[in-house]
Amino acid sequence: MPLNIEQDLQRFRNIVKGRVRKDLRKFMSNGEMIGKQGDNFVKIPLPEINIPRLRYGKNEAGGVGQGEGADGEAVPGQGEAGDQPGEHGFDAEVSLDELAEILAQELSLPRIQPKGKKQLTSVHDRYTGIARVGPNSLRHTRRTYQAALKRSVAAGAWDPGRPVLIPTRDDMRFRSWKSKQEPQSSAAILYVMDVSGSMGKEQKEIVRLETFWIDTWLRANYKHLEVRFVIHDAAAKEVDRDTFFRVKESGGTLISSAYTLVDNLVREHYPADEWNIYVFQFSDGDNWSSSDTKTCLQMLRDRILPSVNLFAYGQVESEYGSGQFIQDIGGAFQSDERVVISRIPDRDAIMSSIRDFLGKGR
Amino acid sequence: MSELGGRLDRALTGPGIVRVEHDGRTAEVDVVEVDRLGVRVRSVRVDAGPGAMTVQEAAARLPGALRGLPERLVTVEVAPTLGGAVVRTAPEDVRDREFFEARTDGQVTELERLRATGAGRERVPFTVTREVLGRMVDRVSGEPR
Repeated sequence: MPLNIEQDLQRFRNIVKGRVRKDLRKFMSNGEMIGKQGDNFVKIPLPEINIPRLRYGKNEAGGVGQGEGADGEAVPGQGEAGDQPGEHGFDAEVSLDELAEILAQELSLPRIQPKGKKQLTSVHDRYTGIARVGPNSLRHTRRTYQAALKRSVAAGAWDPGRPVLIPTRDDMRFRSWKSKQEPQSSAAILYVMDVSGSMGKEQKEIVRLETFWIDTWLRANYKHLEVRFVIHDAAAKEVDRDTFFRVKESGGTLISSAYTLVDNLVREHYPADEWNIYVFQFSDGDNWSSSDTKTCLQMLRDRILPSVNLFAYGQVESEYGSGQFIQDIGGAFQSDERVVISRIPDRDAIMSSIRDFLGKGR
Repeated sequence: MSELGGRLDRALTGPGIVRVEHDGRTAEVDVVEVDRLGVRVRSVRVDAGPGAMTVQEAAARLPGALRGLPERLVTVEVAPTLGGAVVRTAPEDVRDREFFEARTDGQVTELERLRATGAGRERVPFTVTREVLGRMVDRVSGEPR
């Protein structure tokens, strides 16, 4: 039977989950939660009720009916009453697995079916066996006394009227482990972002929020996840996560440069028969020329799509709207299940965009 | 107004493509309507002549050359390797999702006004005075500022 405190904790967790579920759209469109991210959890800001309590002043300051005040005189130091709610709150921790579960429920996301390809294996130790030798910390009491009872009965020393068993060294039994190879689905995510001059701060923030939720979901679906970041303007390069979200370039947009790098990374590091590969590209769609767009579509068709589970293209909008690329890619791969496109006009569209990207269960 | 701008002003008599040339420099304006003071245009194209400026020089010069427009323009992209630069209305000056956009390769500069729509962007005509148009053409084609 669970202890009261465990029930209270469970109840508290349910309240937190309910809160996240209720405000999911809000959490998805602001980065507050991501800023408080640990390795396996995020912190959710929750409002707190401040319970009234007595506050004691200094004794020498006088009290009611003391001092020189006259009738009706205002007590010094009293300001106007506030008309805004107080800002009290604390952060509740939610694990990334719980967050992924909430995300899946709210967006009705199907569980990802890894490709039917060769899977990586990992070795796990499982305590499934019994051994006659081992450390005391692994002693199996029940099996030890069973052995002692058997020996006692076999030796004719067992007296049901005086059931005393003293295990000898030979009776000792210990838990032992077996190493087991388990299949493990592995995934590689390649995030590609256009950092040309036309991509502003807000557009990058949208990408940052969106990638957090995509990461959370894919981590819940794959035991082993590798993430690579590619930025590009007229030229592409691989960068770390921090640089990915902060860098600002002023060059023009040549999307084919990024596709070339993605293709190279996949070929060098992620054989398609061993990895589930996801490419998420974000741009404002202002590719420099229509001839480069043609090159991009050709590269996608011939080199990138045959290797990937999913190619997702998100077109973020700025004050200047967005470009033509989404129409070009949408038109070329309209019936291709591996390609998903999504228009992201603002932060409020992040939720529907994630549903677009991950709703196919690929 | 110098000779190119002056010639353009004299050629603005009605709707249609108006093209004037002077000293190896060309201005081409797609005119919607024109009156004594102002002109409503779809696009303006200025050719400063071969080797007039590098892409970087043109990009640095453009926001100043287009200062007669009702919005402040800023350089958005400069891509010498791709051979061009883009200048647009400053983000804080964009109203109703309409903005000016000028593209240059150093020699040829094209100016138009765009409106962002759900499906992309569409070109919208804009109005300037004849005097501003003439000066703008002069500055973009390399006249001293």
